[in-house]
Amino acid sequence: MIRRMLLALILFLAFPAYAVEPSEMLKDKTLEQRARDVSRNLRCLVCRGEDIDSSHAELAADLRRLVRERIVEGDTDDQIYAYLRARYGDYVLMRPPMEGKTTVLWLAPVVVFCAGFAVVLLRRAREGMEK
Amino acid sequence: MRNKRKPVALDLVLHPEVFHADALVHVDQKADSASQISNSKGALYRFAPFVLFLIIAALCAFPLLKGADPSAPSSPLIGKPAPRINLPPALNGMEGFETENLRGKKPILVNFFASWCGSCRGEQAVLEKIYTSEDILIFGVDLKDQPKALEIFLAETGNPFDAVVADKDGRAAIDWGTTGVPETFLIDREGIVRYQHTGPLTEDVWTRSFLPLVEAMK
Repeated sequence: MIRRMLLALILFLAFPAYAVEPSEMLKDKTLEQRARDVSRNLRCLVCRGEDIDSSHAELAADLRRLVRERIVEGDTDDQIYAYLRARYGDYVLMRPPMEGKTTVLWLAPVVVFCAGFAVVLLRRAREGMEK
Repeated sequence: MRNKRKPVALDLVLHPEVFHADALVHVDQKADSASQISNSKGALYRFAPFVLFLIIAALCAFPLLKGADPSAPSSPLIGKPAPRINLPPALNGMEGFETENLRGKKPILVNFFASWCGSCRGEQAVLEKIYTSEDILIFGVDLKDQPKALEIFLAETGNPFDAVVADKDGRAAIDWGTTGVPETFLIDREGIVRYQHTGPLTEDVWTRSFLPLVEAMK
């Protein structure tokens, strides 16, 4: 019984962990929201699979601070992305930009889906003919 | 063909001409109707998946054998002017450097390191060797460190640096597109970044990646 209660307690206390420290946050709510949105589009280059908004890596914290500083200085979101892309490449963006060499990446799912759909249609047509 | 299922999508790609009514029977799963036509093209169908596999395997093997880390961030700074740097010398009485010092008579290595970083310790011997054998300047950027700790570190490993600056908040590290320590940049006489190496600088890395570039600068 006690074990179960403990388990329930532990599960109840398992809140999602946010990486952004209160000391990092901007006082202005709209600017802070912008910083959060920008952060969610930027990859933590140490943990690779995580955005900097949810990463606890030190580099991610440094990047969060940098994003906020730039927002306060009046940079647009695109200027911030451009600054980091010039240093870390497209990889720093969680969503690779649609351009030249990445068109294959973006279009492949559509092409594969259409091809699959075409195959299904052809098979249907064939079955119809056999009858 | 006696076997069961043939990849229709592959047929579609390789032989779009077979997709008229007669040929469609041929890709049927029923063995008897399929065997009528497939003898002529059986061999092709049998080997098509294998050939496709070989192509994909070759595409995968190429970067794997090259030993590159496919998930490593690229180095967009290569070919660009070295990013600005404006930091104080790491220790009292020590030489520092600024952006304008990154263009000069000799090629420059800019090494991001820290006393708290284990693999930076092993790197020092390699830097020392480069320092004595090459006509090159070695600048250090000490990341998020304590002066006391740096002093002890340099006393223990020997000091291969011509100048060391302190990056207390890690801003220069971001400006230079580094993801941690150690990282090493090669800068030519024009102040252009020629190479960026992430991770410890080993003798192997030096001779394979840096040395040819340094030689070319002579």
